Amino acid sequence: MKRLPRILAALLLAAAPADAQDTAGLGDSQAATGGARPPQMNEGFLGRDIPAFDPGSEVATFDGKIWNLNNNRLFRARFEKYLNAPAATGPADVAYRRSIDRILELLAPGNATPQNIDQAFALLPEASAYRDDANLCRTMSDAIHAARTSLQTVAKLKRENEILEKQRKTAEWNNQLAARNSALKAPTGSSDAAIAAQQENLKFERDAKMANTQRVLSDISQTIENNKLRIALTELNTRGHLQALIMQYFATRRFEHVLIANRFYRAIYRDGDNSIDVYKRMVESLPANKDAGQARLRAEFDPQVAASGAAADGAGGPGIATGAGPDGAGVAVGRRDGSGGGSGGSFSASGLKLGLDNFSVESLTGGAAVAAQTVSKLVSSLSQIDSLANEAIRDVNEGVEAYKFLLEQGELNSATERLAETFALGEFMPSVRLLPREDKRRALKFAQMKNELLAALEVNDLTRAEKLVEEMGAMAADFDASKPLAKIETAKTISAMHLAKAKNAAVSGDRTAMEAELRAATEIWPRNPALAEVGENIFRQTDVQQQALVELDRLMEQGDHRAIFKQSARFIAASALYPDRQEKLAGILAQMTEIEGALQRAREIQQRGDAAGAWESIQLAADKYPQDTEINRLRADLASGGAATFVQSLSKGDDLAARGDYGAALAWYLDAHRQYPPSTFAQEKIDALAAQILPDAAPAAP
Amino acid sequence: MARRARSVPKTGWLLAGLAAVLVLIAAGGYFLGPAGQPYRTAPEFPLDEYLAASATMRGNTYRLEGAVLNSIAWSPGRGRLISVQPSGSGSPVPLVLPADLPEANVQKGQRFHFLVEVRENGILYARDLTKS
Repeated sequence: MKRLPRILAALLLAAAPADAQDTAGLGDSQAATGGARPPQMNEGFLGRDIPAFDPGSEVATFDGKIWNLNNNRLFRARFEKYLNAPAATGPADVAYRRSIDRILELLAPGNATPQNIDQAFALLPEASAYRDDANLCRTMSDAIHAARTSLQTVAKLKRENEILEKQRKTAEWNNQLAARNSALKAPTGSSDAAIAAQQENLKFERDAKMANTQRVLSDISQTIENNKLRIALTELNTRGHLQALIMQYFATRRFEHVLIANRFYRAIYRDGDNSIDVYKRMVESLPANKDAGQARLRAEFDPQVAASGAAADGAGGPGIATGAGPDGAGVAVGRRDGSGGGSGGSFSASGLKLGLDNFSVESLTGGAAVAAQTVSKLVSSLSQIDSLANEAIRDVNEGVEAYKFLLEQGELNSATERLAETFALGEFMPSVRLLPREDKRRALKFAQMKNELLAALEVNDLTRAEKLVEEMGAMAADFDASKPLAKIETAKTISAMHLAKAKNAAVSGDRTAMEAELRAATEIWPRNPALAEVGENIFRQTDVQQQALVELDRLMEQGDHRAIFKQSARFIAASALYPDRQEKLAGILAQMTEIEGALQRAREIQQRGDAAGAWESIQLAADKYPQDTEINRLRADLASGGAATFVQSLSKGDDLAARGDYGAALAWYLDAHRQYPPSTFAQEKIDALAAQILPDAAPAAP
Repeated sequence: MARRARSVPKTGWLLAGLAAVLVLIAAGGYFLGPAGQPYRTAPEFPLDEYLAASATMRGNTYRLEGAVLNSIAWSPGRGRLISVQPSGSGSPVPLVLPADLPEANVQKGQRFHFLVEVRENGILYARDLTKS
């Protein structure tokens, strides 16, 4: 049974072809292999047309698509539903099992007497009444009834042909007599012309006598040939129908129904011909477009004969022609039947119409059609199907036993995998259906966690995946945590590296790189706890920097250098990446340092009681930085405080000098100088006016 | 009896001499007085008015008594600019001692009587001075 895994893979593909387009499944494969091209994708020596199943990786490949049997959304859902279902031990289940077992027993080799066959046939409607049967036995009963009816029709036609053969012999004898009684007489005329005319008349007379017998003979021969064609077509019809039914049961993993139908087939057709050539020709003609989407199979088995004339004898083989109609594809089957012996006939029979609708989406039916074609390439007789079904039943039973044993050993991982495989193969087998719910529940929890782990890894929820791995390791002694843990740790490391790069990019002001690294870290581990923290810090830092720059620009525009000086550390950090701002900021801070020095000096002079000296010191700074608030405030304090009269004298002198009243101006300057002899301001103004009064004079001590 | 005759003329003479002295004092005060306070014909210098608007006093002549505070500038051709603190005031005033002034040898702290004139731009020029 070396072909079994390959055929089973085909069946599984047929069971869930819609999932072939499931990106999750492909994504899982990529996740499992790190994106490398899986070996199953490589061209085998049989190409990709034959499905391949790798038990090591539990991956099936077909037509370039990959299915992980244990990591398939549809299968997972179906398997979990089975694990939650109670054992099929209800009264209806028991009755159904009893019916099927009884039918198999009656049809078993050695027991298949006509009476037992009739008894088994009578049990089919009874079995189809149960839900688990899904009316399969009813369909089988109808097909068997049709086959039996067709055999009666064939027998009737054969009897008719025997009678017609006798009639044809009679007609032939009559025709011979007509020809013999009408033999041409010797001419009696004297002239040649008279003799010729006499001969012509005799010929007309003989033809007239034979015309009737010849017409009868031709009609009989035509009827005989037509009956032969009907016999062949009827046999073709019923055989093909039953074969297709058996193959359908096999494809849907109804192995017991395969055995039952197969035994009925052998009982009905006792000629020993177990070949499935008819079925092969039928499925090969299916216009299954592998690149098309979902296709709905629509089959009509309504033979229509179009026969004309008799054909030459021969042992021609069957022929087949296909064509496409407006609403589907049609196939016409023609057959040269050489089994008739002497006078063979040819005919063309059409009516096996197999239509495919909706080519846009791949469907379960389309997958089944492809699988049917594939299976038809691998098997050539019903005996092979029978043995494959028996092998599958045995394999399913062994799988269930293995599951029970592994469950006792506490090896939940292997047990769950074995049960999943067994379920995939023998979902409808009694041993699978009768498994107690308590036993299945133990695997259910593990299967659910495994599915959760797959889902968590699929969406890179590494925290959840890590927790699940720990729990599964504690639950199942044989659970291999190395693979998921390796993936988890690798992803965590890579995510951390991206976060570190994002931080560096943020520090260096490379916003594009920072965003790219954050995105990469998010894709690898979306729920990374550090992601939110790092992201928040980066964006907060960026936000603070932007705010500081905006404020710096505003204060520069306002000329409020003191406010800039007060937040110098913040602005220095913010402008570190902007050379133009940095240069301006450096100039402002240098000015402010000078102003602060002047203020400091003025305060020190003031503290010594020299208010006029403090005022002069701060006035020098005020002349340079008239907008500085601290300078202006201190200068105003001094001008209205200890240095009031001094400043007033200078101020009056300035006013008078501005009006050209140099005498009085000089008097006030002298007064200021009297009040504060070290005054440089007063001295300069005195010198300036002295130069006005005595242009060519030089300062002189009295 | 002789002693009484002699005492009458003596008293007369004394009274006459006293009267003569009083007359001399009065005459001396009258004639000698102006020589102790010179330029008494010129008005006293109005310091406050000058400090408020010196230029408005242009062309006026005043007498000013004060002490020399400082020599501010000196020009051989134009004279010397000094600061003078008028008597009875704390505010010094500038005063130009022209080069042609006869007594230009002034020293810091010396007190003088100045006959001053307010000229262009309210600047004070000394026309004469007398050491006090």
